[in-house]
Amino acid sequence: MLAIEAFNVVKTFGEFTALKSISLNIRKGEFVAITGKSGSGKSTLFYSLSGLDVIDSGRVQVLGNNIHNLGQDDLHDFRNTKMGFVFQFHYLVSELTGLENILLPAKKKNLHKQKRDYALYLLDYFAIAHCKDKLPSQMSGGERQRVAVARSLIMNPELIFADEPTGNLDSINSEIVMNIFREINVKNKTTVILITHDDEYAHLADREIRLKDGEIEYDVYH
Amino acid sequence: MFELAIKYIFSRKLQSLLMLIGVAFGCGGYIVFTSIQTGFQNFLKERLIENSGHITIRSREDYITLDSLQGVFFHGKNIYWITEPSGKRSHDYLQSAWYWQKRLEKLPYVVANTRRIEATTTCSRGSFSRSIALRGIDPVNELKVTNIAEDIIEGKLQMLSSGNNMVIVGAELLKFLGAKVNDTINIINPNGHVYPVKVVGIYSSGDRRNDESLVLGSITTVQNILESPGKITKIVVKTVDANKAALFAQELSQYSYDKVESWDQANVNFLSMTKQQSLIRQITMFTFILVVSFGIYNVLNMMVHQKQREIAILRSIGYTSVDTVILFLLQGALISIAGGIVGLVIGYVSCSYIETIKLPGRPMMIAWDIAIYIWGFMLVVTSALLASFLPAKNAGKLSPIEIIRRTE
Repeated sequence: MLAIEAFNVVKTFGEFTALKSISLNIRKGEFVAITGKSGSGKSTLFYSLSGLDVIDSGRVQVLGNNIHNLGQDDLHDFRNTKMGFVFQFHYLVSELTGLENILLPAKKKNLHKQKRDYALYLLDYFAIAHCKDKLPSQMSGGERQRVAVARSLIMNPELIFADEPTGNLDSINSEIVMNIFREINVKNKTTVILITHDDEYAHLADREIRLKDGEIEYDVYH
Repeated sequence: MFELAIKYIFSRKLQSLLMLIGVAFGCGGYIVFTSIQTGFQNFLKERLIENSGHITIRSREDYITLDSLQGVFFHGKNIYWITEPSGKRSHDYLQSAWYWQKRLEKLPYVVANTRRIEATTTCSRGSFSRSIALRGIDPVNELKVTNIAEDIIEGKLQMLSSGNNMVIVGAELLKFLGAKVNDTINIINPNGHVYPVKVVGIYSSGDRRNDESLVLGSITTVQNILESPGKITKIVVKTVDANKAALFAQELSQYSYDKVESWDQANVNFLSMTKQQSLIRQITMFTFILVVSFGIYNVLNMMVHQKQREIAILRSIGYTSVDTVILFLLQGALISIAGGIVGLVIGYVSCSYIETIKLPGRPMMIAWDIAIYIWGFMLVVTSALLASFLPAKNAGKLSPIEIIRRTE
């Protein structure tokens, strides 16, 4: 069963072609690292696969849905329930506490009361229970990123998209966050798509897709 | 979104407070200015209506012209005038006052009517003399039509009926003549005949022009002085609704050639002045509210700019552009409603205080009209909402991917 099926995906920015007819399949439950140097097109591929950005041509099927053909409401609903996002910058809402930030996706569906216990469990599981009532400004970088990961999991998504989640963290916190992704993948069978330029973390994934100049340089299973 | 909007508002306390103060003063200012001005205008209007009646019937002012005398003399002959005919026809008196009164009594919209005889003449005492407005009234009916009795500060209007040659004199005129109640003053009629009259009361309306010239007497007294027995110059009518007086006057004017005029038709200049005042107030308030709206626009716009990354994450976790618009619109709405409520309180408290300020002759006039408060509230809240809409719309237009790319 495929989680993502991309076929001949092309994305250009003016004269520059960022993705040159990329085709790939990602199975459900896979932990895939997309690597490459700066400007190789890994972030563009990440945004194209997740439906955050539009593509010029080709097709992207996510969990059986042609994501670029979904209407805006359906796309938002799909992102809310099926996908979790973690970015390099945590992007927590500065006015909300740790718990409130985690429950933000659930609030959109008015499920925040039902999800509260799960949010508390995630706080505990990621060893950030003490951040429950703290504002992001009162947390360390590693704690904020773990809150962001917990937020991406609150709706039990089938897919986690993580864009350089360790890019802004020290080595200890980076390891904690990467271990969390590994655990989520193993324990929940959640498909994790990780963008990283760090070879060490790429080796934690089951599979590494390396991009170069908008094309797949290699696609290997570790 | 409501909870997040509240959090955003409280996270930027100073900005939110400034917006709230702007809206509150906009609303409060509107209420105070409008209440004072409307109060003053209502006061003047009321004085005007209640002192002069809703409708006045008087003889039409006709002027003799060449055409008006065509065929009157030397019928069928060509006439060459050495001096062309001109001047006013001598129709100062109503020709059919009795007919009018009988008709008015039958009309359902007429509450009461009273007759008057008025003339400009001269009054003297010792070596002092002054031109006066002599008015003969029917004290009993006058009370039903106007509230002139409220301006009698000494004596009573009914005393005019207790005998001939009794008058109530304007306070300033009395001061000028050096007379007091029970003194005798002289009124000189247009024919130059002197009539001594006894002062039985003092009239003071606060309107200096009236207080310096008005002399009230009974109709009989004034008819005697003017040597015009049985003559009436004016009938003053009170109707069921002063605001419909022009409509009633139009209907009454069809009954006779006499001039029928409502209070608003007779005071066009005054009403146009009050309209001009209202226009100036509205322009001032519009400018003020515009400044407040710009303030709100700027603060929210800045907030949208500062919150771009959070907007991006909201959008990426399933919140739609409409949710984002609502988030910022809600902030504008909540602050403007809170500011509007504070403004209502400011307006009410300020008006209550201003009403206690004493001006020479009368207190400050405040209009206590719920419509002013509703308008003030609606005006600022709507303006603030409109001002919030643009930043909110801009927030909704932000593309999450563009924001993420910019912040990478």
